[in-house]
Amino acid sequence: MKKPLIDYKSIIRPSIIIILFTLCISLALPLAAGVYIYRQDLKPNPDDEISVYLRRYDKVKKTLKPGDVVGYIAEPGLTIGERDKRLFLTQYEMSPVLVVLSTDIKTVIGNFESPASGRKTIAGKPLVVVKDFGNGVMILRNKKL
Amino acid sequence: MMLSFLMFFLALIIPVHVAFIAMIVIWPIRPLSLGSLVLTTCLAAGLAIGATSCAFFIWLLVFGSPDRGFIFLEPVFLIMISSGIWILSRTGKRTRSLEKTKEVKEKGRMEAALLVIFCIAVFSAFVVSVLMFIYKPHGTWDAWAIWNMKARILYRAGDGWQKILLSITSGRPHPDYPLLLPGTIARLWSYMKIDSLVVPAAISLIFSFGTLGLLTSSISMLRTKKQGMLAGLALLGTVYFILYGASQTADVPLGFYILSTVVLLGLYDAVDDDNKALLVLAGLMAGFAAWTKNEGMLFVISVIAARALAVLYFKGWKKALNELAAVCIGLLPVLIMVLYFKIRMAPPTDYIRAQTTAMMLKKLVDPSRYLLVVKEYIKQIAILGNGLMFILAAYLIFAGRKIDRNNLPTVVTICGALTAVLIGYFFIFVVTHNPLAWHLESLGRLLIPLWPAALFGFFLIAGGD
Repeated sequence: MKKPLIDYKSIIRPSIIIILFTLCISLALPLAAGVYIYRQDLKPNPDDEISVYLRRYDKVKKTLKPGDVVGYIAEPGLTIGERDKRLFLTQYEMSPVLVVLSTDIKTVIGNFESPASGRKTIAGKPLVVVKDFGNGVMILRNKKL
Repeated sequence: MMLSFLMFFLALIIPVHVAFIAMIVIWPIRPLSLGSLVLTTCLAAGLAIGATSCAFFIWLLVFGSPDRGFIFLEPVFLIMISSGIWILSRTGKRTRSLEKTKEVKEKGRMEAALLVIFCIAVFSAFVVSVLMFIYKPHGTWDAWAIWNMKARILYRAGDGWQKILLSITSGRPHPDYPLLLPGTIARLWSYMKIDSLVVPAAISLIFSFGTLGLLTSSISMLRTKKQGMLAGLALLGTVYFILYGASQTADVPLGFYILSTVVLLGLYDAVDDDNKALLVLAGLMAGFAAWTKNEGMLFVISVIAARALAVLYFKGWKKALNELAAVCIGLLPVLIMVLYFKIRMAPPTDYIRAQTTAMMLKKLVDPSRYLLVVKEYIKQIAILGNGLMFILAAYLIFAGRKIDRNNLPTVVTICGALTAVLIGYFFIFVVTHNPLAWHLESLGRLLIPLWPAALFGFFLIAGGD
């Protein structure tokens, strides 16, 4: 009779050990972190810069569907770094809606410091406000298209 | 919520367990020790994450958005693989088991003290990682602008994912970066039915601590436990490694796969077992490095060339051809997938798209660019790990060199591969289309994936057992 390549016991035993090992780690580490966080009175931070910024788009997301293409406009005068950061954050939050840095698209997302700043920016442009979410984010329409 | 996290746990643990069984079948280490268990678990985790990411990508290509069918079929398929391995193992040819290469009984105050320091360092690193998640739940810029955004597209876009991925990433930074990390995250979200921020953070944690476990356990097995812990401490002492690990970017996952490749080559060399399965696995891990980040492709070319030359020199051309063939068996399936992604689905890389050959040639003959890059290389290598390089140099001077003859091909492979990668980065900087000074700021980050493998090579050379 052929001898098996490995003894079945040699799989069972390490398998049990690995499951226990993984369970121990997956329970012990979060537990340790939990105790630390509790003792330090820390909470998951809902107010980090990115989360706060992204929350502005909560309502906008509901108005668009995957694969939609929308334009994007922000205040002029931003540094390239700041403009890109805001655009990429908008894209990150709106994915899988495609956000393009252009106003030559029928629907455009306006991302401004405030509603007043937004209205000032679009003055003189062929853009009309479709929805103002009151936090500097607006859905705009290009009336030429 | 509980059900989501149960699904998350199952989606992780089932593939890791199957990979673990595969590992101990093809590489049965006896006697079972904590070191071998950690080593096998870390390799199994990397293997499982890489393989399921590839499987998820192929599912997306063939069947589109993952539905209930995927969540039902994948575990069934994995259990079938695990049963198949078990059945094959009962009928196949018996291979010699790989005994632990070094059975050194090391007890004493030194080891106990090191163990205490090591545990404190591990716990501190864990707390830092958790705090990073608490304060930056979306990760750093690259995490949300590249990796997590791609994961969101794969998960949220439905059947139109290919078109949407291409449209969204075109014109953005690094549109051609491959999909191991986004695929892994999206796969877990598909099981959980929610795109939880915990998933990218957990994957980061697995790769960070997997790299640590792999480095510590492999050095413990190939050298001594003391050196294993020193290697681990050196890695934990590299603050940027922990911070990048927790940043949810792909640098530490890439470092994990680079380390896995060289560790598997090291294990193959260390034992006169001629277990080619280790070489196949090394090829697979190198393939996963290429599937993680573009830099991984450079590593694949470098490690293949360095390994071929090392084996040619130490073992002769027949052995070199045999080994190369075994590595390629593991590497090719993943490489074909990466090339398919690059050719069919990804826009051309920024470096090619943004400039002409003439512009690149002009930069190649500009000595001022070379000078700037050399200066930055010296600076970044010197400050890597907050002066750790000097401590390691001092350690080498005091402890001396002690290279096991069997480890020589591995050491040469590591030195050759890492040097080739650094030379590759050097010329990418020289011809970059970005402002050079600005682009060079990323050099410190590019060194992080190479660091664990460099430490592995260092502790194969250093004495002080």
